Amino acid sequence: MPTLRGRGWWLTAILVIVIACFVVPFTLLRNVDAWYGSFLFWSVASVLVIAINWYLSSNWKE
Amino acid sequence: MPTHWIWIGIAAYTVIAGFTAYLSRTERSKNMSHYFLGDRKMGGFVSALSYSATTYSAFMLIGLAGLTYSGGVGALGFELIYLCGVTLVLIFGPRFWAVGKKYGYVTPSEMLGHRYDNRGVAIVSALTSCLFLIPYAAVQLAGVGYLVSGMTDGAMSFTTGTLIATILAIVFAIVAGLRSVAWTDSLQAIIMIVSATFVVVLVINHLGGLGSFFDQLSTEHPGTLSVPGNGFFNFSTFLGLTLPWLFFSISNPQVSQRLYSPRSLKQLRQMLLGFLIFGFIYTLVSVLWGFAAFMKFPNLETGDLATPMLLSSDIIPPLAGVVVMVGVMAAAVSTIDSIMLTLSSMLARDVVGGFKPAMSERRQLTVGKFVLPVIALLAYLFAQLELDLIAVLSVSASAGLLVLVPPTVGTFFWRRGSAAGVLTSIIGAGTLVFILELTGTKLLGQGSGVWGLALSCVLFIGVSLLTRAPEQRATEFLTFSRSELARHRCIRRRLFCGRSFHLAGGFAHAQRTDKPDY
Repeated sequence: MPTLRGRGWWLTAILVIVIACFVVPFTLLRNVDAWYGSFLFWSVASVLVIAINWYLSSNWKE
Repeated sequence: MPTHWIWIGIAAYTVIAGFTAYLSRTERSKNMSHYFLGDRKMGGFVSALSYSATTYSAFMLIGLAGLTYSGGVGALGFELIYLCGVTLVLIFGPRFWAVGKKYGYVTPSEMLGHRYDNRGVAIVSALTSCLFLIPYAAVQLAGVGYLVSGMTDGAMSFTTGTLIATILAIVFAIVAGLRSVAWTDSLQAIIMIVSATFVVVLVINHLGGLGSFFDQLSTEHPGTLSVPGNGFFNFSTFLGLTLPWLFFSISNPQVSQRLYSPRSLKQLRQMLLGFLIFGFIYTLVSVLWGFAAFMKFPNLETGDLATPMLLSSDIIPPLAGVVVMVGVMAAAVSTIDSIMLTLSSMLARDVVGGFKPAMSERRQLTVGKFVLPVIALLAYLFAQLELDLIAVLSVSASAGLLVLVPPTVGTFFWRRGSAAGVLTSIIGAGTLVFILELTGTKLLGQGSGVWGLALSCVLFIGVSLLTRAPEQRATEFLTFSRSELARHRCIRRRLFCGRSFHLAGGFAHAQRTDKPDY
């Protein structure tokens, strides 16, 4: 179960991932014209965000 | 594709969805929250599917596939960043849910009006939502029109497609309010994702399997798997398209209103996670769909034609094509009926109720049911304008609703926010977005949403600092929402829970269903 302090860090991690989703494909992956470039990056980033959502909401009970 | 196949598909869909709507009926609704929020007793699974069907519309398999067709992989980034933005539900979901129960809110604009202690705030935010959401509903209708006319080579007209979608949306919404919308949405969500996934797998196999599919994209169409690629998705365009969607979950009332309806926080969690998984799969399918259309028909006039062309091509069996067409139609109808339901609740509760505070719940409900088909008619008339690129228009509508984001954030996180700040930001920034969209102006190369959000932030903060905030209401509201949140986040820590509950004054058990006082 996430603590209040840990929750802040995880939310910050999501923010960093979202910012990376704007920056990385237009810079580092700009010339990678294949499935393992931006396509894979955005997909993995989304899976990570979903996993963090799953973890951070794990204490939502009845 | 022969027209009779399309008619058979539509007839089958109408009968099954209509029967589902009929089964969802319970006792006759006597108040607003029963009709518009499912009595705040919705389960997690149905809520997740309904939230998905409401969010994902004809835009996905027509607009997003079209954007992929025109601009390549940037469309995937744009849509998946939106999905990441749904994390806002993690922050705002429990807050909306808790204050909704406590104060009996039916609409997000009602919450703003009550929190800022000003009836005008509720009226203005409700009218702003109508101004931008009716065009949004119209583009969904237009999506169905394009699809059926494209698939039948014009044998079935654009007008016939939009008319059928309008009538279905009215019926699904009016039978039992949110209950019929949620149940038909769930059915439609399943049709959408199963049919699209099945056919996209079929198409990719036809094109040589996934590995060969991506290899062909890289070698035969350079630039499709990178940004800015062919130049369509330059950074400004990407930002202008993405920003409105990033805040979609709290700016668009047809989805933020759903945060009031789950039975418990556990159901809210199921709704959030179910939606995220659904969204991830459906986004990948829609983007692969767009790529497949591009490989098969690389020289189409507009990206919006990609899906109709692919569906009517010889690589998809007619029956599968009809099922996907019904899936796209279901996606559009499920979005439109939710928008109609939300807007009619806002007009009845916040606008009419705002001018006539003594009006009873039952009377408000009657007004809401009357307004519902009127909104549908307006959307239908707007759809007949047949405006060009469906995706861009759809995003423009979301850009307008971005102006509601700063006041919504301030509701839970800024005690100093004032009604004057809210009114100025919504009216000022909303007008700016409207003018920019109307004239097609891009200031410094940025979309209207970027400027609308920036101006809304500046006006909300600036004017609030210069005017008086409703201190007593803000203190009561924020104390309750924070303590209630703390109570739910620390169930195993009994000592802290007890203190939180004391702070909240035992509000958790004092659920109200009547109208809040301003």
